[in-house]
Amino acid sequence: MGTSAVPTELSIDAPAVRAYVRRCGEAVRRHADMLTRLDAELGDGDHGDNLRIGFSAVDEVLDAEHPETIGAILSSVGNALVTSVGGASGPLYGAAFIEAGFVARGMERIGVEELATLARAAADALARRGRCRVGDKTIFDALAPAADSLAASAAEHQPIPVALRRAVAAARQGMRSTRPLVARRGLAMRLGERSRGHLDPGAVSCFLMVRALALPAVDE
Amino acid sequence: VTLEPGDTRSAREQLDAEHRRIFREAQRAADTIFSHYQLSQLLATHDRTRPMAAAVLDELMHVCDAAGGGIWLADPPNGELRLVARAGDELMPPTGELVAQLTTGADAAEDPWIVVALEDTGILALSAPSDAGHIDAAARRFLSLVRHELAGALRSAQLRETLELERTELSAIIENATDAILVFDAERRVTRANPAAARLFDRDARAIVGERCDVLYACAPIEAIGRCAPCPVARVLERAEPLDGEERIIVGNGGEPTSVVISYAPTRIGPEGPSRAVAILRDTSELARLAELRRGFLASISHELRTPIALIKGYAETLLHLQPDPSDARRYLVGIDDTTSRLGHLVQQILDATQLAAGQLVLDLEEVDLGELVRETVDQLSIGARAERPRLALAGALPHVRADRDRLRQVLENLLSNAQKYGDRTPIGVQVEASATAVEIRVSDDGIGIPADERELVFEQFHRARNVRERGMSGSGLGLAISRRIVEAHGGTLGFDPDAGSGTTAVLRLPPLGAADLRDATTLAPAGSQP
Repeated sequence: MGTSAVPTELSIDAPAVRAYVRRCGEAVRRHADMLTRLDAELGDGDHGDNLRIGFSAVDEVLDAEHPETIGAILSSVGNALVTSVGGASGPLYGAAFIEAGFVARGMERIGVEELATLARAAADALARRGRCRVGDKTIFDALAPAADSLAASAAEHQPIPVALRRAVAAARQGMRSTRPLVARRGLAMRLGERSRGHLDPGAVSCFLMVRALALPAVDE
Repeated sequence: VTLEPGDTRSAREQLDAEHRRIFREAQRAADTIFSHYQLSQLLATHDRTRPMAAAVLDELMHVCDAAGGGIWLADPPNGELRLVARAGDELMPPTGELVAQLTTGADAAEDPWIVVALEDTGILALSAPSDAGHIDAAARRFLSLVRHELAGALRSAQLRETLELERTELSAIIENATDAILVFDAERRVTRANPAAARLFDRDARAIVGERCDVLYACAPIEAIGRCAPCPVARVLERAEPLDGEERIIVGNGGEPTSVVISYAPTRIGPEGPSRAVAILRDTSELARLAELRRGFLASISHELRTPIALIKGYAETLLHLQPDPSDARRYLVGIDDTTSRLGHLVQQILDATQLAAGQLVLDLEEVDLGELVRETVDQLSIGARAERPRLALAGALPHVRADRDRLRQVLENLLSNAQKYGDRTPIGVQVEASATAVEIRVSDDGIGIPADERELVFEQFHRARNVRERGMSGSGLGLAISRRIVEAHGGTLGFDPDAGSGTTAVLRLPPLGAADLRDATTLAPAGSQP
């Protein structure tokens, strides 16, 4: 089982997407306790546990159904998250993956331009479902800058490694921007001013998933 | 749409469009479910009506893309709609207009405001953003989907607040009641005891909770049935009927017995709910004391009133029927005059005592030279008195006091006449001295004295010392009680010097004028509130 870094590829195929999804699951599992701790300060303290359960369901679906195309893989991931995750994060991440999967139907390999299209579709779907905007202290605060960054890289015809690195940096920046914000959506709204000073756990988990794009791939 | 191998490009596009439409519809349905979920979560995390209404309104404006809105809830007593949350800046139509729009059932599709009934809990109104002109159909469908849940949650919050308010009021009543209140569960164990119960049993209320009635009441239960044969608590629990007027002696921790009358009432929520009994224990010791006092009053007053009346009648009859010679007649008339004065004095004392008991003593305060007042009083009392004139010792330069001159004179007269009456013809001494904190008047005699254990009791109304009673000396038992009340109303004290040796020495202390502790009160509190 050797490893190869995704950024060295010229484009991304279905197995690479599958590997990306597995890396998301690993990142979530590794940081689940931290996510739950963050959520205990703002929400009901279950974000890490919820995502851990969600990505176990994702693994099961990938193993059982073997979706072959990029669109089918992303749709399966979205459906698994919607149906297995309690709380708001399942339907929100689910909407993003399902939308990306729908837009990706027919795509066999994706380059930076397609990646930007999928990220934009995912971000729009998440914003639509959550009725959130940048600055509401949500997942969207990390996802939207990543999508914007990919769009910019596509316009500049940047290679995949550069585009991914920039997207990760943008997501990190977006995640950090949630700390001083007052929550305007979700359970943290209850806290009002007291939500200030804490990172939004959704923005953190979103950053982890964006970062998984640029992590070394694990061959299946 | 199905695709055949030879189909044109437009057919493929048609299929793709169909695919897209189905996908969008499914996502919209999922969006609605998610909105519903978020709203439910919001309802579950609020328990107060107003914050809940404000959060609901905010969320609905978000979901329905509304520019503003309001939530009105029916006030429980009269059902009048009250605005509990509003948002947005635009002019809101009057409540009546919104209700009218609701009740006519007019199609609201094109209205700038839509109004939704929250069952019988209230109404919700949202205004369309100015660019759209109306709230769209999907939003209206969403509102009709969630309105029952909203109504239920808001009603529950209202109910919770009402219950909480009632519970707080009830607790305040129970905690501050002067009657002891106990609640017994089905096992006859105390589940609640108020502070008055703690005082009655002379124990911490928390120690009483959990105790069974027989332990608390110190009954001797029959072992086989675990309770007394006529256990009032068991009876109330079993029959679910109230029980009034159970008399009982409660012996508190300190060993002090208290007579109480207990009323029991059963409480139960529904036929299957747990059964409890509420007991209200009224301390009747005070009533018994008052009854005793009344008996004492009647006995002593009837004797005191009857004696002078009989005397007057005797003198008058003699004058009427026996036509005595002028010198005897004059003697009888003097007797009538003396006796009516005594009777008048007695009636005045009774009136004073009644006034004091009702807390109606009004002092007419002025600056009084105490030395002068004492001298005057002694002089007046000496005129016509058979006894020797009291020896008067006044310290020089006595400070003045702030006092009601007539009331203070009344006190001095009472002390001097007591000294004459019980002094057994011994010399009476009146001594007036001043210190930094008090002006002190001591009236002493060398007579029969007051038994040590009765030195305080003689200040109680109608109480008369036993050596006085044994000698059959007349008196109302009111003079000292009245005097002490008057002195206390002046901020002073009145008592007997326990170290004065033989006889009696009454000590009256008054604050000198300008003393910091001079009370400004000119009216006494009712007798019951005095310690």
